[in-house]
Amino acid sequence: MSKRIVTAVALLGAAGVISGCSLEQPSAGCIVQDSTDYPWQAVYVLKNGDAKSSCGQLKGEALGVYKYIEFEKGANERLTKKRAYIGIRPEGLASKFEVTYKDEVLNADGTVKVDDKGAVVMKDVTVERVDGARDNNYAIAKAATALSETLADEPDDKGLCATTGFKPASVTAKEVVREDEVKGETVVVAPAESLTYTFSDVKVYSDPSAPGTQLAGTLKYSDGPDCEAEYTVLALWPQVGCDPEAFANPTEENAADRCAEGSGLNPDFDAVCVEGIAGGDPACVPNPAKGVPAFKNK
Amino acid sequence: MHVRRMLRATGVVVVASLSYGTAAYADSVIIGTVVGADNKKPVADVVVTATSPNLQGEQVVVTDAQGNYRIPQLPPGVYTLRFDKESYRPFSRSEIQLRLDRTIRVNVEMLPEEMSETIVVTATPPTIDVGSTSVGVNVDQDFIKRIAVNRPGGKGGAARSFESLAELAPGAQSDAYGVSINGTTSPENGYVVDGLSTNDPAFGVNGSPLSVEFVQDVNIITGGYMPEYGRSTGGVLNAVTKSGSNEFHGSVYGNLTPGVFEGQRTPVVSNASVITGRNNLQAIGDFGATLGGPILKDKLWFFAGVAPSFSNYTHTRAINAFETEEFTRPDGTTGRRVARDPVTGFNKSQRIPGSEREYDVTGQSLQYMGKLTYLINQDHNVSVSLAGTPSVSGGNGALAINARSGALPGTLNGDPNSYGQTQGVAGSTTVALKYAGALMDKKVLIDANLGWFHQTSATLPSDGSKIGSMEGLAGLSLIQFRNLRSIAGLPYENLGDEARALCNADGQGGRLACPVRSYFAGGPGLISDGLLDRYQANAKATYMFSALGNHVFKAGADLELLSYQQRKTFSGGVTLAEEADNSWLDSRRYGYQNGPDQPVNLAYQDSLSRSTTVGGFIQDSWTIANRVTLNAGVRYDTQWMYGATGQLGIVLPNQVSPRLGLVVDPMANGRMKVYANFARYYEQVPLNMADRAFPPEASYAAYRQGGAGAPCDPATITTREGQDECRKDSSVIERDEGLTTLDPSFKYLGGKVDTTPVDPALKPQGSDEFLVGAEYELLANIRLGANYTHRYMNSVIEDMSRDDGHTYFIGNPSEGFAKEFPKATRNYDAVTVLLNRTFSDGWLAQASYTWSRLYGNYAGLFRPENGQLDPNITSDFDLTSLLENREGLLPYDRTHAIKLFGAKEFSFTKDLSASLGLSYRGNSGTPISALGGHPIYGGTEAFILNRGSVGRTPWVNNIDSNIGVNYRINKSNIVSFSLDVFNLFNFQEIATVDNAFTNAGVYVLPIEGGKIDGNPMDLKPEQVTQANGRPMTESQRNLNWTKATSYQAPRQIRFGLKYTF
Repeated sequence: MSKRIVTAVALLGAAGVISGCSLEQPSAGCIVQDSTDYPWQAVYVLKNGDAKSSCGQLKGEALGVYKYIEFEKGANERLTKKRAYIGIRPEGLASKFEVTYKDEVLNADGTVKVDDKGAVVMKDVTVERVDGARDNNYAIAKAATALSETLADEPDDKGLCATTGFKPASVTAKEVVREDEVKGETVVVAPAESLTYTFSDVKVYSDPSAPGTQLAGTLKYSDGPDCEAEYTVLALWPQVGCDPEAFANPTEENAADRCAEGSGLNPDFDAVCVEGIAGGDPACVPNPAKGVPAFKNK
Repeated sequence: MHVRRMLRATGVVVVASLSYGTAAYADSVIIGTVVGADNKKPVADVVVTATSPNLQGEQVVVTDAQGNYRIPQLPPGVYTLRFDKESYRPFSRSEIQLRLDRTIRVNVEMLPEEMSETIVVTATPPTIDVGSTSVGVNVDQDFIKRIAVNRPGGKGGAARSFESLAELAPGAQSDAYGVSINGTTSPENGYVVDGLSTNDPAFGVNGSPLSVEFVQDVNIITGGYMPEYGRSTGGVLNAVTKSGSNEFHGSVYGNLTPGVFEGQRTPVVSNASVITGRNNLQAIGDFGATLGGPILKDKLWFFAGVAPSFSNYTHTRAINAFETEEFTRPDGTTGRRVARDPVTGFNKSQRIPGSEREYDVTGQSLQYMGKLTYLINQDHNVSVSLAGTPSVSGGNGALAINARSGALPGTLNGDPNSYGQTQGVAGSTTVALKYAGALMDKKVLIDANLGWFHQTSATLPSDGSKIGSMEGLAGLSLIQFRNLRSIAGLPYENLGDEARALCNADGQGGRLACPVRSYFAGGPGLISDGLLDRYQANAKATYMFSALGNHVFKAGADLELLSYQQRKTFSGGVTLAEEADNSWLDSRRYGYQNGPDQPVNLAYQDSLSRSTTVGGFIQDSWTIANRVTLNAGVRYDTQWMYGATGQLGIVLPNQVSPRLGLVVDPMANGRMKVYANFARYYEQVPLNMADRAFPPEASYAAYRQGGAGAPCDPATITTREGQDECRKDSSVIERDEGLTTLDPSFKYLGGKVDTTPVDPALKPQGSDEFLVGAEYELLANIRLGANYTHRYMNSVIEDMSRDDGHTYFIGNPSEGFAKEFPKATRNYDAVTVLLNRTFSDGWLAQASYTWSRLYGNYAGLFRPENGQLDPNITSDFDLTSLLENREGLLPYDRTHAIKLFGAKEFSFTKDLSASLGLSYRGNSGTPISALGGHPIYGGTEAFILNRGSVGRTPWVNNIDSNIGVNYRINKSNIVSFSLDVFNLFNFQEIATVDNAFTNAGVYVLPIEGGKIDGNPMDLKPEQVTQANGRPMTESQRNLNWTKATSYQAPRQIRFGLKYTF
């Protein structure tokens, strides 16, 4: 008890010094919303490269974005922060690990099964496209995630949290073919692919009013040794679908369908509705004319 | 009016020291003017001497040129004043009742010695506080002895805690965590014992349920208080503990409330569940002893007390089987279903014979107190005190009582052998050092307090195993089975063949008649050990001077350092929950991920959050011509809160609280006052927010292989061996999406937390109060008063989300970037009429009637609808969609409240006396709402109609009685027997009703405008739209809506025996 009293007296003396400084709210630091429940949604704007080439066609996609804080665990479960960094796992890479296609169902005698109306019965078949992806504790599967070396602790004066040291993320997936039993021919379901994403200059906007919900960066994308293109990446969280029709003809009632109030996005976001970027569907992204951060009144 | 010849020829009145209590905490004042009886001119230089059994030594002052005198720093008690001046006859006035924190005026006329005629002066000592605008009641031992107070049961009920006395004040009523004052919630009150706060640093509730046996006087201030009181947006409960005096006095006592005399409880008709639970009172009791007296006569005194108390209940757990019936579907096929009562819509059921099992529900506390008071000289004294309220509850097979709310255990949905494995440990220790001194002929007074309030709050395995250890109960994980089973098939239940037959009669293996889904087994689950500290230092100086009247100028500084240290874990490191596909979700686990699939488990989570509040005040009480007193002052506070990692999390700066009051004593005789007051109050935010938000705790999750023969085998998973197998790294399964997941981790989820952001424009939480009133002393000791109070919230602090629950921040609704949120409102208007007669001539009476209205969308620091105690981060303002129709009559709105207390003492012989006390409390009911499931938040979070617009619960009447018999053995030894009967007539009126309009799992949209045509009670399901756009159907309606969920507490009888010497 006496130790506590001594502590109390020491604290009393120190209190003024400790707290006497700031009357402003402290920064919450660099917050990044993880894609645990919803992915991020990116739009890609071609910066360098041929828009007609195979690698110059990216429009946008879902991104898995995660922040990690590396700690050192000391005695008594005490943690010391070593560094923070982020991981980006683009749908374009993650989706290459397997493919699902429809294939004919065969009878026991090897003939094609048909239903009572004479239609061919099809089933979903999922095959993995990357051999040994789980070996060495998922080494190959993990290579499809771009990890940065660092993430700033505090945003800069524009509210942006810088990252450094992104390593390229890549996947090499094998060709998948199926036998069309009806036509008796071999069909390529998915061609052999070798894709590489190299992110750089990724900055996450983090402000109390919009904590870690927009990011910008540069993406070098290559789908083989002969094709490379550079894009500007603009992304927001969470991924929210939209209706381009409603976006073009805004009314008070359709706000939720045009990336505004009720859509699940921060209503201050200056978000636009872009078609074909969320698994083929339209989705909301930061207004490319504004860049990141994209706000209506900033 | 009492007329008495007041002048005495000679003599000094000797005051017998009948009462042993002597309060070291002294803040009451006697003022007055002395005039000559002959010419009514002021008499200067009169020596005024105050004596009281409660005052160590005596206090002496001298009147000034205007004949005015002031005796400050008096402890509450019964005083005698003596006035001496040469050429005047000495004059004495006794029986002056001075209460805590009060200023009373005693004007006298002195008779010149040469006068021979007899002059009759009309006077009895007044009891009106002419110095302040504060309202509330003062409860002393005279009242506690003669009125049935401190109902057994509930929070602090066994120990007879002082805080429950607050409910006696007009405008006060009990709430889930204490007493609500003027429409606020109990954690908003300031709890002050001997000048130091005893609020729980983390949750704001009272952390020290000190027995009334240790308390001399409790002042319940419900409003209109001066800047010296701060950091509270509710009322202030100011208690002063007993002290020793020059004679040895003490008491030995015991109180017992046996369960056998409890009145019949009206059973609540509710939907039957397979597992049921019922609590019955066995006994509640407290006993103890106190002793006070001199160590060095006139110099050093002590007071000591010890007060053990206990609560015992029996919890009976039993199993029901639902009745099933055959029915025909629209397509003509038949099936079986659970039969329902056509009136209530509830499942029909029958008790399975032999399924009852009884548990003890226990709570024990051992309170103690010790105090030393040292009078350095007449002008300076110091006191040091130590008080503790340690308590334990449950463990070793017995169930625990919730320490924060006093709530009893609910239904035990799990392995009957797995309950009673934890013990709740709660308690507080207060160490206080106090100095009071007077300088410069008592013109300058100094009061200084230094205190340490230490609180424990723990839930620990009762086998003594340590948090984080994998031994004993601490190492055994809590298991939650979640797939549909028949309870008769569970090995833990040990139900016989008869039960199996009853369940299996449904033709579905008992899954229809005896279904269980969520069923717990294994270890105790969350275990925690919390230490909370509050270091306090405050000092104030009072300076009295004359300048265009009399001034009492006060200035003070106040520092509080709070800390909340907590170690917690889930027993076995994790809680395992069964999934529909038989895998097991490993979800409640502390830890983080250093990188993708790099989980690091923490055996326990340690957090230390802190807060520093620095503040001060200045105030002046300026009395002009003894008629008008102007109280003006301002208080300043700033609070800094530091999160669990030591980082500054939030600043609540520049809390400037102006207070302005005017008191008019029209006759300048202390018998009447008219007053008005404006006050701004600010909240001291409890540490729970810092602990939970800056940052939230980190945990990660995984799925593990389950099923018969798998690592997590339901047959063995409740055992230590089974759990060891299940918790191995190798049992973790890859997530469903496989390698195509967008999460860089393929096996583990989560593990990262960011601090909750705070709006940079955040303002501290506070409220304003306007108060006007008048008091008049009708007869001696009888005051009649009336007042009007208006309170409203300024800024409120809450957590909110602007993107439908995706991200949250802390801010002020409708301000800063929370602009689309409506303003948080809580408007309270009340008119109180009261009549008060302090105890004298063998009787006392208190009567009050309060009309009030409590309206808004913000209830306070906890949510009355579901009891969520999360100060400033409740779910109230989380989403804008939650706020539709949320404004209305708040749950604690009671239009009418009547409180009547009366006691009369009868003397049979010189030595034998008896007293009879009666109290009546009558309250009109509380508002009813129509609630439904919210599409995002579920539960009953959506207000279908305007809040509180569906009528009210019925008026509740309560009559309590107290009978006391006192026998005087000799001069100072008394034996007293008391009999308190609570709810004498065992009224069983409905206390609360079901507010849910929809059944569980039905999500609905609020009706626009919050109104329907006609009576809201006639709301039809088809008038309500579901979240999916379709109208609600009759089968989705909760037939129990507006029906009783609880009744008044039944009659309880408490026997007490006390020996005082």
